[in-house]
Amino acid sequence: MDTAHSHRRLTQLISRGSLTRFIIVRLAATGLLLLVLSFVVFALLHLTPGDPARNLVGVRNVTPELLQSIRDKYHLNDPFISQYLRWLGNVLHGDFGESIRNNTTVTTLLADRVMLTLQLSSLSFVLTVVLAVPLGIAAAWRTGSVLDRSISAASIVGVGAPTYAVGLLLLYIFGLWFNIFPVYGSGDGGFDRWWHLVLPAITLASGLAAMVFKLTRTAVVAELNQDYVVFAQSRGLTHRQIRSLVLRNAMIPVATSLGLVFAFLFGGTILVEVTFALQGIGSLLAGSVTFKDLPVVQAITLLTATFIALTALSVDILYYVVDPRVRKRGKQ
Amino acid sequence: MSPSVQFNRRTLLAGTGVSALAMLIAACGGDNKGMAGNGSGVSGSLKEIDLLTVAFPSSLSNLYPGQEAGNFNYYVACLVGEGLVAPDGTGKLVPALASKWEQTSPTTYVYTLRDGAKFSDGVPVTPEDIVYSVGISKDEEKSPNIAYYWANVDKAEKTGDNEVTITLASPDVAFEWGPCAANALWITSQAYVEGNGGEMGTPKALLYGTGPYKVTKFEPDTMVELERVDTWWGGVPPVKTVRIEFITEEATRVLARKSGDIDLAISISLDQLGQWENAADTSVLFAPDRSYAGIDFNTAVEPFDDIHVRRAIAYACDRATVVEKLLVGHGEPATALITPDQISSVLGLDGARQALKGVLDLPFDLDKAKAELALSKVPDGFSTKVGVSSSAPQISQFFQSLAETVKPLGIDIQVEEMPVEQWYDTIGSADWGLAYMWYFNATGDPAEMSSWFFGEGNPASYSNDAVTKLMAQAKEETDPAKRVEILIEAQKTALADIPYVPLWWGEAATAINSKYTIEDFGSYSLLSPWTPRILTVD
Amino acid sequence: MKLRVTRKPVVPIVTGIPLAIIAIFVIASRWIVPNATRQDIMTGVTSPGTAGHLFGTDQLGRDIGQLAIAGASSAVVGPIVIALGSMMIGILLGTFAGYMGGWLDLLLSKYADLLLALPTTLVALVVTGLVDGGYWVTVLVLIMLFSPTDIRMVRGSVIAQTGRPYIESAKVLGLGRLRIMFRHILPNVLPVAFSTMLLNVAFALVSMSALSFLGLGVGPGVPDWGRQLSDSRDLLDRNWGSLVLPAMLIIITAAAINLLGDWLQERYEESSVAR
Repeated sequence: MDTAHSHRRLTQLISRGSLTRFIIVRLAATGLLLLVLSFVVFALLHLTPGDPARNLVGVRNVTPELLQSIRDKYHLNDPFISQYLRWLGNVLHGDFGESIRNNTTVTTLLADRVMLTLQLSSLSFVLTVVLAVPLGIAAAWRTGSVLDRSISAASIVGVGAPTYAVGLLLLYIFGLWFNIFPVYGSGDGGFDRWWHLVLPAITLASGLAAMVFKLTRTAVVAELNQDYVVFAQSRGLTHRQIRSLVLRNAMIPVATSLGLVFAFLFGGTILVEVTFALQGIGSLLAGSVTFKDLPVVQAITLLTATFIALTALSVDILYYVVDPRVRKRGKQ
Repeated sequence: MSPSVQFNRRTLLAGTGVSALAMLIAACGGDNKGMAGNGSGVSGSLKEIDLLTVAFPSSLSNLYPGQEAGNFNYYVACLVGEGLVAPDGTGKLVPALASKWEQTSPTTYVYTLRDGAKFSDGVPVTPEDIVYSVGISKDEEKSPNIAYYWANVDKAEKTGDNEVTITLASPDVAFEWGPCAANALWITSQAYVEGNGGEMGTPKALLYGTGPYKVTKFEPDTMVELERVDTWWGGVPPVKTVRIEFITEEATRVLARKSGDIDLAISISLDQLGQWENAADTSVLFAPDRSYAGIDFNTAVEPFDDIHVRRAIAYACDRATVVEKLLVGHGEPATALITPDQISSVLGLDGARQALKGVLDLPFDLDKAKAELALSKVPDGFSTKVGVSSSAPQISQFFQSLAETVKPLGIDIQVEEMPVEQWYDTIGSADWGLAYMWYFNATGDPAEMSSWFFGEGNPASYSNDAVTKLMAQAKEETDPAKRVEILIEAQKTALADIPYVPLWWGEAATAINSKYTIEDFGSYSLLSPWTPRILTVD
Repeated sequence: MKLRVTRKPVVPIVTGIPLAIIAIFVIASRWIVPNATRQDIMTGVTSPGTAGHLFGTDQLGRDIGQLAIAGASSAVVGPIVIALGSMMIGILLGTFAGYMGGWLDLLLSKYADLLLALPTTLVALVVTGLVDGGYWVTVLVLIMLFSPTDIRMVRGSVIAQTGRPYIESAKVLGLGRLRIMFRHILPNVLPVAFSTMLLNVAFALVSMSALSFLGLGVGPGVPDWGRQLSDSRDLLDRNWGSLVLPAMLIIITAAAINLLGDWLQERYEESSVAR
């Protein structure tokens, strides 16, 4: 897997490869990444066609006084860099400004919704991993078998199925005919909330599981093709021992890729939230983009990117800790 | 700018749903029973209902209409707060918190506060509260969406123990509709507003008023819950708790009704009508909703500065088919900028339709259209675009159909869809020569739309001295019948130049659990407390 | 290791048929369904199986089946362009990164990381939405977003080739770097690149139809599968065909391309396993 290469390179760059050093370097890299992203996100206001002040007015009647007051409020006449630094400063304090649409602070708007999206994402993620990883392993172990072929076929359909169609299908079957799951809404908190999120999570997981299944299967198959497996067999290691060896090694690229999977998860929640009319940040983003509610768009984009970058960072660290090859090389 | 010239964003925002819905009216003083029959033809009686679940097709992020003025914000607000006056079923203004009122001079209105009126916590209402509330509504920061209604008001002051006098800067008969919960006034108290640091309509501050309900819970974009109070002068409503959920996906709303999770769905989409009608234990109620849909030409933009082009397009509109097919029969081909319900209190519904028919009623005739175009400066046709809000599917379909119809004439129309908020920006803009207006009349005042459409800065860039004179006359005419005559005259004169082509007057549909019904449902019902009108079917 | 018996090429045949049909739709829709967008407002909405309309009609009387056939090109052409564009960037940058190594490699890897930190749908939504872009803006954005994966893939493949004896001998022979990269290494990378490209087409197809479902991309009345899905929301009770047909087309096309791409990848791996 390619990520393995880049990680090995990176550890070579660290002459003494202690864990702390590694973390610091990766943190710095992530920080730099986020800084660049934040710059781009901030620039969205100026990259959007039209006068920034005009865009910030929204639907209110545009008068020269109003435009001037917006310019003053957002310091639009200042040099770009100082505007950026001011914005960044606010963001680091948790102040994302006001929504153009609603006249409430962006943070208020996001507060409830972030929780829902997080719950939806984590539920999907768990369902995906629990379903796809074991199946991927099983299929890899018996490549070419009926099991392998049928699950592979199913996963291919899963990747292509449009979210809206899958969601509606699930709603009709499990919400209406069998009346197991609630048909709309996000529940009254606590367990009820999770119960309401089951159908949306399954919808989201259907596409994701296909991807993870494929990843897992490829990784395990790649490991099985390695020389050391034949070697271990000839040395008389039991089937079980070989299996645990192979799986441990295969899980590393899988775990690394799961970080990427998280990225797709976030994009996927947008579709599911719109389909099931859930009030998460995905549906908020969709609405805010069409409305050009820039402060909200900026906030959500930045938050999502941060979240993904941090997840990727954690996965990298985990990878470093878990992969004996990497650590050993580092210790030299 | 006079209040009526600036466009009523609230009623434009209404374009997010299919239309306003018909619920019931609270009658004037006294008894809210004793209304003759009800629109659905089913009889029922006022029985205690513990919980009524309602679903709105759009979400609210603030309960105070001064801050967020969508149709649905009004439906909640008028259950909790009241104005000095309110409309009855025919659109005539009747007393609400004011037991009577008088126009003592062209610019002076004196209101007598009702005896024994109380807020939801039992505190009596005083004239100071009224004066304070007018001040809030006038305040551009606190009530940005309705402040302009009060721009013509010079002052409001207490002139007696239970009397308030409002003085206008210049005469305008339309002002009578101002102090109304359906429009721009919800009486509240200074103590409440200041106790919440100036906030209104937020999850913390909620709403405080004199209506039959109080807000107990509000989660923006999710739901709002109301509990009845026993302090309302109109009596104790039958529904104890009203729970309103915001469900933006229409398919989801249908499912919610099918599974029994909601009792009442307001403003259902015409496209889903079949699904609603097929749902078990569900009745669908219809009523006109005082909405107007029509084409706007920006006469300052070529080639729409040429009357032959405008007339050609007018001849290409097949209104009857549109109503029958796209609106599934739920609407009426329109012939004027006033809807029949706005003048029915003066002329009766049939009389209204007759009077309005004379304004502009061109037949659908492609040959005539061709002939008109041949007389214009673009006889071989032209291309143009039109921007349609994505929450107006029937309008989009209409323009797509129109585009197809005028293709043989050499006219190419490109339909562009955009979010409703973006569409606002296109109104009157020079980039969009061909446009439309889908307008929900907030008040029963027949001058509401025309004062904007014929006034300064109107979307068609149209000006005509004769029309301006007539409109100014209407502003001062206190006799309702004469006023209607003048307004219709103004419309006839203006529409002879075809700056606008009226297309249809709309109808709204509500789905309700068939064990309930709504008493006397007509186009003004939402404008005052409607849950008191929920009857249980016998 | 399993004994490999020569199999009949089942997969290419099974996937080839639907793909060939879709290809015909894409190329020849102008002649097959010249009146796809013709309206017939008097007919209104009809359900599947009504005379002359296998999949029914929409509110303006347009035939769903014909719209779907006409919509094939919108659904497929963009994704092909995306996959091609992304792979070209991938080949260019990935070959340099993989072969040259050093700071160039580091820079390109970090650039790839940057782009990979962003979820596709979200970025495409934000960028296309804010600039009011249409179909081709979305295509451009997706090319940018898909390229990092291709860069990495090509880079990895190039690195794997670099250690091989034939490259060593080329270096010893004194052949120029560019020549080695593009005349010797690249041909060995292309098969895998091709199969990856196919998979990208499938993924881009799903992404683009998702974006038109959300309202970006094509305008009203323009045939497009994602748009048809979105429009079907208002038609469901009267014409279920309006949902089922575009949904099935998306699934079948994406699945067929995926299967084919997988099969090609497997074949390449088989042939490359032999040392």
